[in-house]
Amino acid sequence: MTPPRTAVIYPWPVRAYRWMTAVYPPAFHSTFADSMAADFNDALRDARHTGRTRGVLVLLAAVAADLIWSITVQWMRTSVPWLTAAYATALVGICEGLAATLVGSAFQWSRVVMLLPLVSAITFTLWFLVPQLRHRRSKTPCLTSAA
Amino acid sequence: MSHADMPDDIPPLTPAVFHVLLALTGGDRHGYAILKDIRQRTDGRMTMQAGTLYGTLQRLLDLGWVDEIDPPDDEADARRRYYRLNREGRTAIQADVQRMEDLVKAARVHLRPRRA
Repeated sequence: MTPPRTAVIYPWPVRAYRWMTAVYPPAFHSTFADSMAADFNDALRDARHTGRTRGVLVLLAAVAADLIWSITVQWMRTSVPWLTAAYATALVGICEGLAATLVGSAFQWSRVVMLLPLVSAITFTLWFLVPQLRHRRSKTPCLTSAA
Repeated sequence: MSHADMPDDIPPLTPAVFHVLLALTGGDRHGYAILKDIRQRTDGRMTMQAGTLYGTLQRLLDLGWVDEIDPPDDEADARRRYYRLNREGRTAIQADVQRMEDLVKAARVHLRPRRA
């Protein structure tokens, strides 16, 4: 008979890394975050064992660079950045067009270009946060008793 | 595998895909075992971190070249995922190795010193 598998409690750097993986797209995060944390735990243990402080610092730098690169790549593989750009462009264009029509000011492309990054950032943040919040809410245990 | 059996529709593999597939030719492995295999086999010249590895594994799973399998019974950490190279994945890496061999052969012919 095989012993039951137990959940491993990781040290705080691994828990912090696990927390940072929440920035990946939700589907990628839910599939791989646990494995990534387990791998980082092993890598950290090996770096401490072989390279001491320098080894740990080299590992942390490599992991930070990898996180930035792979998070960008994973988001680009989803349609969210393109939808965000299209939505933000349409929104700013419509607002500028309405202002030009209603107030009578000239349609200014410079204003559209200036507002675009801001609207894109807000849209992307909302697009990112809403699934995260939904996911967290669905994981919250139900406290009411059925009895 | 002969030249005639090689599929033509497999594009050249990226270094990350090639090394992950090569690591899995040695048997079923979890993520960290793949990372260690790559580092050891390349004498540390190629290192990969978890973000890149799992992005690559996701692509390989989507392509159907790698399968996720149940972890062995003696695995202490239930959070680990194990991967196995399937026939399509083996065909893909064999095709890439053949492509590189052909490339090297062609390059050697061109680089051979010419007689005056």
